Amino acid sequence: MKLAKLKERVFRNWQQVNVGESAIAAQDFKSEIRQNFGDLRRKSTWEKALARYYAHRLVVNCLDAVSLIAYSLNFAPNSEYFEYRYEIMDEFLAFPEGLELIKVGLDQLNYSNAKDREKAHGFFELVSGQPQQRYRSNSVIANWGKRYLLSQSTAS
Amino acid sequence: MVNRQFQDAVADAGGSQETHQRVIEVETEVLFDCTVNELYRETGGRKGDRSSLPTAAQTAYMANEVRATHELNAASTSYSHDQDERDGQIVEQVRETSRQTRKWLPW
Repeated sequence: MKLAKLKERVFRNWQQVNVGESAIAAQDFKSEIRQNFGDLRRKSTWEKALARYYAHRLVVNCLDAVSLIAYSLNFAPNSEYFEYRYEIMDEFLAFPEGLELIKVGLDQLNYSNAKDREKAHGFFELVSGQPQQRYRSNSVIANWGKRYLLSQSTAS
Repeated sequence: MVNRQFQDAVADAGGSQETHQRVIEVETEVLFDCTVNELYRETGGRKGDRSSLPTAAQTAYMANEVRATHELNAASTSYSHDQDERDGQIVEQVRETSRQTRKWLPW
């Protein structure tokens, strides 16, 4: 993502995290980014902020947990968030409610059909730890991912 | 089920990944004057599970999403080819539908 767009996306996600809180201003935004993520001139600062605020937004304003699996954490290569998928998942799981929401979402998905599960392919591929194997330690979701990928390869 | 169809309509209309979250935020704001977080907190529901919300809230979402699904399906061919504009059009469509639905709600 280009820097200008990256900043715009960070701002939009930050706003949604803070909406409903006492008056928020652009001034607060910049100082918060600087304080938590560092130098505003560096792209990496904004990339870290994007992962944090997008994940935080999904946690605080999650209406249907299944949408996390099917859409919001289901990264397709053509999504502008795709390149930050690992950082976003790391941030998401760092929130105390994160793993619970994933479990609720997986339960909701479990009751629907194979087509719905297929839709979530990007999510399962991510958490199954391939190719980076990042989520091996997180057995709950990693097992789900592996089971899904196994069922896919058996079916084909 | 209705919420799945609604999110499918957002996808079919060409909405980007973030748009799936944006439409939820906008319909909640218009229908209930609060955030999803506040709605769950103030009703004592279990976050991420709308079946734990009061029936009136579930019905409001359902009525709105049936309408919004229909509106998105009808309008999507006229949406912009530019992704950002297209996302904006989807969000605005949902906002407008939600305003209409809000008129029928007793609060």
